[in-house]
Amino acid sequence: MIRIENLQKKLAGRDVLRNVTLHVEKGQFVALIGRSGSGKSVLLKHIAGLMAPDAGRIMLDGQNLCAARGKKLETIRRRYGFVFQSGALFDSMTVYDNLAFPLREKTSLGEQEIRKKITQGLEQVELGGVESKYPSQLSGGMVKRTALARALVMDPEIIFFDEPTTGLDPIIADSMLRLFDACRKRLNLTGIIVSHRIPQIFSVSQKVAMLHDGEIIAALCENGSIKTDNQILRQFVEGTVEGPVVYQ
Amino acid sequence: MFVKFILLLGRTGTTHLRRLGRSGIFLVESLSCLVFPPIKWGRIVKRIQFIGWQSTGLICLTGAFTGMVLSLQGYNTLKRVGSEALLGPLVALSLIRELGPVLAALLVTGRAGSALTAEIAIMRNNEQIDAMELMGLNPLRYLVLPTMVAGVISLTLLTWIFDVVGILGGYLIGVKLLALPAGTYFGEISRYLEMDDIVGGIYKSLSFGLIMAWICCYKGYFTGLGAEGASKATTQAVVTSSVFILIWDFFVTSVVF
Ligand SMILES: Nc1ncnc2c1ncn2[C@@H]1O[C@H](COP(=O)(O)OP(=O)(O)O)[C@@H](O)[C@H]1O
Ligand SMILES: [Mg+2]
Repeated sequence: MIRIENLQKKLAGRDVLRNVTLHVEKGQFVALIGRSGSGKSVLLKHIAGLMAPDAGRIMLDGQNLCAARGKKLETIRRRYGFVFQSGALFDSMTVYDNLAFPLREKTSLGEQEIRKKITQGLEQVELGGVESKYPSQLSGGMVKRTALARALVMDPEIIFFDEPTTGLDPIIADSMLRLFDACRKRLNLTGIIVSHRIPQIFSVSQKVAMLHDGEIIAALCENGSIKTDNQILRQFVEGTVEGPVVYQ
Repeated sequence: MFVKFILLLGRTGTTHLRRLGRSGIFLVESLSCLVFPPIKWGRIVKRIQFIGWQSTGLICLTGAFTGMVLSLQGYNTLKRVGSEALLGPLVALSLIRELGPVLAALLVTGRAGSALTAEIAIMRNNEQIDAMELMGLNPLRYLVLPTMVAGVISLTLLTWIFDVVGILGGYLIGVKLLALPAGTYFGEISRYLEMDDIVGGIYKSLSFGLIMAWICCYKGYFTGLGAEGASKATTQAVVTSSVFILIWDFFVTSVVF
């Protein structure tokens, strides 16, 4: 479904993405891991068409995303749900208005239907009674849930989730993952999730992609563990200091 | 050494030229949202409330004191040449032609412009602008254009308020303190003040409003990363807007008046 081929990007004089190749099949979920600052968010922003690569291309169902502009890019983005690392909730709006904003501007639904959809959406992520709160009044986990609800409210096919578990306590982090898995199954989503809840993350994804030194090391997941001989990936997953890579 | 200097000059030149080009495109793209509806009136009203309404107190206060000091200084100067009667026109013309538009613009830049830049920069760094774009909502239409329109409308109205309050402040000093006849103060104003002065003042405040909103939005929109980037953008926005307003003021004065 998504085919990223030989993607390259230089940012502030550093080769963040050197040669990224990654394929995501329909219905597949990919766990994207890698050290902080390795360019995971940058990669996701390329797939979303928010950043343009220096070289390489991204194909979505045979369409070159990097060459798309205007209306064509908008149609592609309509299929996306994107949950940003920071949540990216509009802080001048309440939770309700955050969810209602895309619905009001981009669909012809009446206010009644919008209300119904939002109530459902918030229930889906197990959030209640926060409609009239502002993002600054929410806890970290609630922000991420609201952001997920906002991403799902437009009925996307493909979802990107940038660090939904970072900065949350282990209990909430795992409940986020479970919630995420449930939504994915129910709505039949394809997607990429950035998370460092190892090994829990392996039981909700079919493939692991590690971004290391500007390149992808991929491996399949089965029954909650990854199958790989790659020493670099093994070392990262096991979190050991000794290995082929010397982390400073 | 010499070659190095030339190279440096060239590089700085192209960087600035590129930045100028980018900000020009930014302005044109934003304004083109005016031509293609929908226009977000609700957001414009909210922005006017922030830039305009919330600045009225400040503008009244500074306007009054500017008019008062003009009156005080003007009276002492005019007295030496024996034409105190012309105090009214002196205060009114200075305010309407020059001080009203410029001081109001600088004050609003300091109060509202800096906040606008900070707000947009934070939205950029929190990925809120990216999120908007991903929803298929053009941030220029939803964020930047309303700010520009509101900047132009607010600053024009605030300048009128500044002028009126300033003239009343001048009256207070001239008539109540320095015992000039009230009839003389206002009579001479209406005798010497011409439509051209008022129209010129309006031109100025319209363009100052646009310059302020344009530069402040631009600096916020293309901010550097993190809190440091946002704070730098804010400082630059205020400084650049103020300098541009003063340069443009000279230009307009020499061409239009
Ligand atoms: N807009 C940008 N301009 C310049 N450098 C950037 C930009 N965005 C990210 N970077 C740099 O790219 C690198 C990767 O960042 P990021 O993708 O956020 O890492 P992470 O894997 O933690 O998500 C970092 O060194 C960051 O400083
Ligand atoms: Mg990141």
